[in-house]
Amino acid sequence: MSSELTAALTQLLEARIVGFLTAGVGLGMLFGALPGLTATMGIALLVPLTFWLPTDQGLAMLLGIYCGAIPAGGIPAILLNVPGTPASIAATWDGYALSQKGRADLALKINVFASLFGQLLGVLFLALAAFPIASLALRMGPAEYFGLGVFGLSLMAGVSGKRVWEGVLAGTLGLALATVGLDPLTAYPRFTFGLPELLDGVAFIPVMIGLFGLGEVLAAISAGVTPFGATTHRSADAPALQRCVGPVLGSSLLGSLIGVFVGAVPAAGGDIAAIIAWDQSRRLSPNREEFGQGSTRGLAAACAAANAVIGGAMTTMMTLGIPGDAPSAVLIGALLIHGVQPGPLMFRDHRTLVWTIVLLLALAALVTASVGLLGSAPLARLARVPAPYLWMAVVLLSITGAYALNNSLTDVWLMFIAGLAGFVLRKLEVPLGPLVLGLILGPMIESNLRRALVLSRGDWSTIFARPLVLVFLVAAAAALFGPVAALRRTQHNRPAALSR
Amino acid sequence: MGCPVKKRPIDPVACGFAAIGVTLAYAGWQFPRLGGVVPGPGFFPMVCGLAMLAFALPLFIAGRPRPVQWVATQQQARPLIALILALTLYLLLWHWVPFLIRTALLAIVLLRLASVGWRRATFAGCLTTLALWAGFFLGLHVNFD
Repeated sequence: MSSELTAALTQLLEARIVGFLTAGVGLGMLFGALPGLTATMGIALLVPLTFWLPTDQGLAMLLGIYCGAIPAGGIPAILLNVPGTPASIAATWDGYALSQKGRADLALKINVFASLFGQLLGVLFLALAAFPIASLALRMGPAEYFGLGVFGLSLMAGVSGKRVWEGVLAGTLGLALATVGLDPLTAYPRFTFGLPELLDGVAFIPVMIGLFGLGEVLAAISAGVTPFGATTHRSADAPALQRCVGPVLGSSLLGSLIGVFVGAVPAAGGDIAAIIAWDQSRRLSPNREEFGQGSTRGLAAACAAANAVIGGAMTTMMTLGIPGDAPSAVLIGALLIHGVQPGPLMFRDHRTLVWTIVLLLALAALVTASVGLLGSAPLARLARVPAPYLWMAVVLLSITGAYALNNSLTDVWLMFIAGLAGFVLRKLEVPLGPLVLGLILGPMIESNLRRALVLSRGDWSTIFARPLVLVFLVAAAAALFGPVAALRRTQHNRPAALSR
Repeated sequence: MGCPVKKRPIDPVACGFAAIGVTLAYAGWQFPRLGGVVPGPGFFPMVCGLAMLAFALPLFIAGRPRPVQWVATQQQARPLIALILALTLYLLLWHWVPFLIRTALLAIVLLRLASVGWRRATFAGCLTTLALWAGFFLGLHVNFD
């Protein structure tokens, strides 16, 4: 292990890698600070740019975007009450209240510290837990992978909020889309409509660019321009960083632990983690009434959780090949483009790369914190860029990004269709996360189930008799039907609650 | 006098997914089957179709009204439709009009649809197009024509 760690460290000292990482952090902070642009969109739009770079340099840039965008999303949340990314929604509750009280500088410093704390704790978890999880995963066969895939997919119900059935349907649609192309076992063409471009299946990255880039712009246009006219109150006597840290250390730790756990759960993202962490921090606090009125502890818990998700999500993505959140789903596509298959085999065949990723994430967290301390104020001004210019940039980047992947106009059409579908699904309140999850996990579930059936000579009972498969399937059933039962209970109790 | 019959609202999401499910299941059934015991290429699409049909059923039974507000106000409808048409035209003209011209035009149209003045729209549109061309064509050797 030490030789791979040393090799990764040596790589990290290369000026080009540090340069691409810093550029990625800068771009990520730009995407995070601009309301309407997200980390997922930033990574999806810039994956094609890294196609021409060596794997380590490309990954440095993409991980920089990921780590830069999430903390930067807190800047407009604190100063303008407009979350820069979905993960910073909970940061508006106390961050903006602090800003209104003339303590914006304190809030920005807490955002920087808690984000750094959360990211570093997440990286520590990745470094300690990833190898044991991967070695366990290496012992699994096709049947276990099928069970794991079904379990990952079943979590789509939990992340669909009140729209459980819509989420499950979107996930199934993702699975169906994954069947387009040549059958993995017999090479029989399915749903290709005679188009040779579809023989390789539905390209993942153009679909993501369409859903999260163009689809978002169409939804924003349909909702009208949001003016960012909030006033910012900044105090003249800003407290030193070390004086801000002490009181929020406990909340940052709690938020980070929740963030790592939520991040490790497939498809659950920073927004969910931050809300849970804020709520738990409020429950444990003796001054509950302060929360939502400008509590530094509430802000720290929310910011730390949103950022700790990165480590948890990367652990699940790298060890099992299942995305922990939306940005890591796009990162899977990026790794595949660079010839690396995320999953346990990555820990056997690309050990140096694993350590490179761990170190890149740690370095990105430090660079982001440094830039955050110096550049919060200019980034806050960027948040006032009028929406039409942002929309134009996103539309043009969506087109060029989708084309640049394979120099294929079909990919651009695919992105366009995915954008339209994303807009329609958003309007119909169908969550998009499960669709992406289905698209990613579909090939894993299908090919492993059929491989397991070939090995067992078509005997289904031998597959379901394997203990680990059974554990995964029972957990999947609980994950799928738990939220459904909870939803039914809520609907059942609603009339009584209303009458009270 | 009978009771007034309550008409159950039809959920477009349930109907749409059920229709896709039936199509998928039927298409999966049509695929060739393997001679042995291992499921063929149509097995998984068929399962997906049947699952979609089954999961659409609770929504269909609930019959939840789903008022879809496609645009916030009628004023937003025009730029939305115009953008979709402009993008379709842009893609159809891909092989006929050079990248720099068609992209700059699209950018200007986009900004004009959002009521940005002609001068600013032209400047910002051309500048962004040039920046993209420089980044992708000069930097990464991606030829968009």
